[in-house]
Amino acid sequence: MKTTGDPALLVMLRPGCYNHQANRIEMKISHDLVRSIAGLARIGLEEDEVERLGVQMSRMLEYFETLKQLDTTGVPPAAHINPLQNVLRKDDVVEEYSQDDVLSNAPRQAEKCFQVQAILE
Amino acid sequence: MHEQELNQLTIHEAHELLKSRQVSAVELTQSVLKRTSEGEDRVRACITVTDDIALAEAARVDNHIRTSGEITPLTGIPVMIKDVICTRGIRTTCGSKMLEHFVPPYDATVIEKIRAENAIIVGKANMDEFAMGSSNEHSAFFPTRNPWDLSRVPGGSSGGSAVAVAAGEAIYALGSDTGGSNRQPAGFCNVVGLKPTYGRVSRFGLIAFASSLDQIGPMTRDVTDCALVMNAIAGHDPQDSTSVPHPVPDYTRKLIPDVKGLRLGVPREYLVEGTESEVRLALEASVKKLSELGAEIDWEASLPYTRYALTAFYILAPSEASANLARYDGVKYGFSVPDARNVIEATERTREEGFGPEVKRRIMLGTYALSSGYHDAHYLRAQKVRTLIIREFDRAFERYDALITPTSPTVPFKLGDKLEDPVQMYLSDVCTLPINIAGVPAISVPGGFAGSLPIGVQIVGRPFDEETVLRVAYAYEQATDWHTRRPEIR
Repeated sequence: MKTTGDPALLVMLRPGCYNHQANRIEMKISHDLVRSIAGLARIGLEEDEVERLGVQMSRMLEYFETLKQLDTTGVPPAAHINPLQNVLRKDDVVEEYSQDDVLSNAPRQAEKCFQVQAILE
Repeated sequence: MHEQELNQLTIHEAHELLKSRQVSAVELTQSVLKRTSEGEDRVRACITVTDDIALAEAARVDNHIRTSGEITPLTGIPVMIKDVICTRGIRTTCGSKMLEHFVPPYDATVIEKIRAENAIIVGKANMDEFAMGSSNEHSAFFPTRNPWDLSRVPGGSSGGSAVAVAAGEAIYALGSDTGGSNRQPAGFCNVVGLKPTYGRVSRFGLIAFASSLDQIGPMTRDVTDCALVMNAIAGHDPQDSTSVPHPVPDYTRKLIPDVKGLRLGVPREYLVEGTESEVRLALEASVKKLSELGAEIDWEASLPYTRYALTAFYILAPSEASANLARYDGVKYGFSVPDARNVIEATERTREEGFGPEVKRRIMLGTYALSSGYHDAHYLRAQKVRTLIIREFDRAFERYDALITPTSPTVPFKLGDKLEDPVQMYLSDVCTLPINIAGVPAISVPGGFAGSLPIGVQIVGRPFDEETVLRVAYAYEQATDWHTRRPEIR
């Protein structure tokens, strides 16, 4: 893994903990954790990817930790920036897409349906 | 007019020629397509060139103009569409193997709107896979190159769109911007790129990356064109419940070469030590120019939470992406492994083979940040920090009408330079990401050169005040000639 080239910009990422030895990565994300997250995300990974993601995610996690320096007591979370709430519309029936349109990109179809692997044995 | 020059026109110049019947839509389209066939093997801005469809459309539009006399600003003008925006009947790949053969059965709302004005779609632009990247090197197909220096990146993720506009492969383009994806490549390629206020332009038909941050915006050769495209694409859409019902102004109305009385802040957090000296000098010269044009400048503006915006972004955006990209399961559309033994293996292998490394990295980060036990420590905290950042922008805009910053801390970098180091790549967007976190509008305009490499200047405005952003950009543009420079592709 290359070192981060620009200490000045790093300050922005690591407020209050400016440290030239930032190259030393503590493996906060173990290989087992990588595999477990990959399972949740349903992404198959080769062993070398597990290794690489462990290092990269550990490094990102260090940056995540910097947010802990901010006092967010009593601050409400923002999901987005607009004051819109409960946007409703009439449940009108409209002509949208034909069955053929909807199925046109299906990797596998049978009898005008999406074909899937068996879910239950 | 010489055919060679038609592809270099702005929208408003081409419109005047079309209106006075000095050129036809077919001639314009032919000029753009010729330029594409000559230069494309070097810059590689397009994933799909829709030449046959475009020429047939252009002939139809010429006939329409002749018979009806109807001509609006975008009528007959060739446009490039970033391949993240759905186009009915035209393959839309999102720069990913996952959607390599995906042909949308519907148009995005912005496409419906420009089609209603009889725009001519000439192709689908290359991009970082699922718009995740700052260099176009994360395209699953090939990297796009910067027409100002072919050894350098065009920026990203709307790199192909920016290059198409800079190189004459279209008159303008539509891109999308989640953390700087319109503005950073615009700055790198010497074109204009706008990220409208969140909710100003419908996201219906925009393939989702991070739904609370994504916005579609214009990429154009000048500010007037940007305003004209906004007139066409802005507005409420019942299909996008986050689009707002505010009336759409005529964005050309406030394009006056004057910034007298406007208060502009230059936030010092956007000029950290790591900013390249040419970028710093270009910004200082730009601000000085705006001061000469009558603006009141505060060089000591400060937004201290800026430093946390990058971190918050890299929690929030991957979290939203991990949820949005859960839909790619190989069942309804997209890539699908044919020979899996069971449903879990089918999904895991489809996503392993269909997604590239950057997309996997972000899905993994997001899944981690949202997972039980880590959610409050990361995702929820980042959402709270987002509130602090939004409030900080609100306070800044009590004092300033707009903020002026660099678009990116560096000039375009070499291909491969940042590819192995995600954090270095992410830093390329350090000046643009906070804008998406706050949801406010911002534009990048050509602001100078370091040798032959373009430098962008970013102008940030109040929510839904694109008019002031465009006014400052226009006044600056009219007092400078950076935007008139075009690359010679060598």
